[in-house]
Amino acid sequence: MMNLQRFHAPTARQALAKAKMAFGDKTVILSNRTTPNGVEVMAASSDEVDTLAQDNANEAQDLDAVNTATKQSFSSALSSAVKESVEADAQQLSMSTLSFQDFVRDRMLKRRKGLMTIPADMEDSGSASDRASVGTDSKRKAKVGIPVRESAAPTAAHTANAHTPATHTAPAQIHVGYSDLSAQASAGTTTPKGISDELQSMKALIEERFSTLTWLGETRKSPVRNNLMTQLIGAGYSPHLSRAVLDKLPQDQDAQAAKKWVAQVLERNLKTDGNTLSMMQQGGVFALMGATGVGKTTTCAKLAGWCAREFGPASVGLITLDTYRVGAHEQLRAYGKMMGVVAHLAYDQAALQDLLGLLVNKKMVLIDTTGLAPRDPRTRDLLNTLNLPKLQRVLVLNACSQGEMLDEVVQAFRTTGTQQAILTKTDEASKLGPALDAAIRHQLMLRGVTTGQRVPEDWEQAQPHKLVKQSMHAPKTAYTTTDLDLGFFFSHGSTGTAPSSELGALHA
Amino acid sequence: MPEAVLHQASSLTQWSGALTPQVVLLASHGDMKSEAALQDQLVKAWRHLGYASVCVDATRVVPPLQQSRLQLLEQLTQDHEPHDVMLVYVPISWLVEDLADFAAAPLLAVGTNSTSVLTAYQALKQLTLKGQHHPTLVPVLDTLDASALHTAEKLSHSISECAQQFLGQRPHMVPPIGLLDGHDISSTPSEGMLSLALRLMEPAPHTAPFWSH
Repeated sequence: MMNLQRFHAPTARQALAKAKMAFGDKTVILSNRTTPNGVEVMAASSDEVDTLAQDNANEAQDLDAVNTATKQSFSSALSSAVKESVEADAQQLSMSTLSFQDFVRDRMLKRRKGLMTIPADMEDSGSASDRASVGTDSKRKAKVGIPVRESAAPTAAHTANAHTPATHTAPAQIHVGYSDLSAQASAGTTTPKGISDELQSMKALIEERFSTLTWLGETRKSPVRNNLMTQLIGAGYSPHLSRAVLDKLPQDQDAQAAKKWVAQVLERNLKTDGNTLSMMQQGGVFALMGATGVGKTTTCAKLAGWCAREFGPASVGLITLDTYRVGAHEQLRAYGKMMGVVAHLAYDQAALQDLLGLLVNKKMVLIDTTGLAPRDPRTRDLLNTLNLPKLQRVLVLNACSQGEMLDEVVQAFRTTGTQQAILTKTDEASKLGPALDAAIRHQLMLRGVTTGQRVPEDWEQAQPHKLVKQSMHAPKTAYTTTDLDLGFFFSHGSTGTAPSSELGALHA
Repeated sequence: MPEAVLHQASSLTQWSGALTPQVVLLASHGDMKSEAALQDQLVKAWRHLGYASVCVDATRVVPPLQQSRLQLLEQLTQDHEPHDVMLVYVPISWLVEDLADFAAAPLLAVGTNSTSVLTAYQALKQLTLKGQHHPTLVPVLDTLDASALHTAEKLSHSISECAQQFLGQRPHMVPPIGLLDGHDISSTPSEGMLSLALRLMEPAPHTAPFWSH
């Protein structure tokens, strides 16, 4: 029997505390409701919920065994019943009416006895006392009582047909009885399994909620942690990443040190080429891809401009695959013309390969692509077109986009190996948090940042320190998160949406 | 050029400095009909792409006594600095005698008649063996119908095979152009011609003109 207890207290917190005192850390809250005197909480120990679940699992196994045994037993009983009835019929062909009644009674008893032996085949799954008490013990009925109860059906049917010596009806009825039996047996398994699943799901939900509340409670107890959490959420970082970072915050740090520690963790986890060669210095073939309107063409022009300045116009090759947007080629060509670089147009992979052959001696070849929405089916075609050796795909992300949008774009344009990215429009973004959050969670390698519209001046190499610092200075607006909003952010759904694998490589 | 681009990239022109026009050489081997058609269509394509072009007929220019042909070409380039591209229609002798060893890539227009094919092959031979150049053959057809394209394909194949067998290297071939394509000024140049025009604008790995070596 499960030990459930009700706890009454003026507030939910106190009621939970009482429950926790009774059951300890393994408290599972099953329900709570408001009463005239405060709050009533129904709780149990998680061990008991587990035991109940185990019982149900065992019951399910027992029933599986019963089903198997029942099938075998009924099969043998069926053949023996048919054989027996045929032999008996042959022997009793010339009997009197009185002896016929005896015959029927005798045969009925034999049949009943024969069917009564079926549960005897199941001795592995039940004791003799269990079998004896099938009629009274309701729990046992759920396990093995069903075949016994069903055995009455063929008997009754046989009785009803007792006046007719036809014996072929019995097997048919037994067969029907067997089908019903299976149905009943499976119905018997559904109910406890359903309850078990529901309880397990409820338990998981409660545990997660309880854990979040506990965590939130602890966070609120620590003003430093609370303040940092508010800042991170306010800066646009996801609750998932914020919590993952603050979980590792060392104790006994003052506000300043803690803030510095958090910034350093974010910086360490933000991959950039800040300490290595820039795209221009490194050189190679780069294809810029991303959603519509993120600034791919302008970024291409900026990169080409810097490369032309450093290594001369002849060192740069420009190709556009954007045959969709009106004026896309003209725009790139206009930029190219100003710096003495020719912008070529490729319609397909063959043309692209041909042009790459023409530009093989260039220091840097930049490929501008058509902007595509993350769910656009043409995204896959574009990725296939760009699937060429030595071609590096660089994802262009708009820093003004919402976190969800950035996640979608990264998923849609995901490629094998290290995913390179460029962050655009950082000057327009009111919060850099979502973009940096996406870069950290998806482990993108930031190759650069665009900070304005001027070509090519407004381009910078990605510097983690600068970006994180900038992100932590989000302006205060009506959308700024306060301490009171933290509970909302950490409600169910905010904490469990991001796959844990995404944060597997977080370095504190 | 779009206004926004000019505004956004105002410093690009300063950075890139003064650009000399890209020089494209068209070798003359006597088939003036095909060569004129190619000139017309190239100029039209460059105009369509927004590049200012100028054609210089060097077959009718005689350099002054104190000036070599090479110096004359340099002078012409300086005279046409505001242009993006300068198409120089140049005799084979210039390319072989004065511009030898510069590994230029002159265009060679080839018609479908036998005379044009023979003179083009002769020019190809001289340019390759004597001039060390890498010519690009452009088949010029009267019309671009299926049978003409088939003829052009056979022609290109024959020249290419001969060049490989007797000259030791295959010339670069581009898709054929139609003679009539250049006649209608209002029509848009073909995709192939636009692609060729852009290719010819691509500067060589060294930025300086080849005669400044």
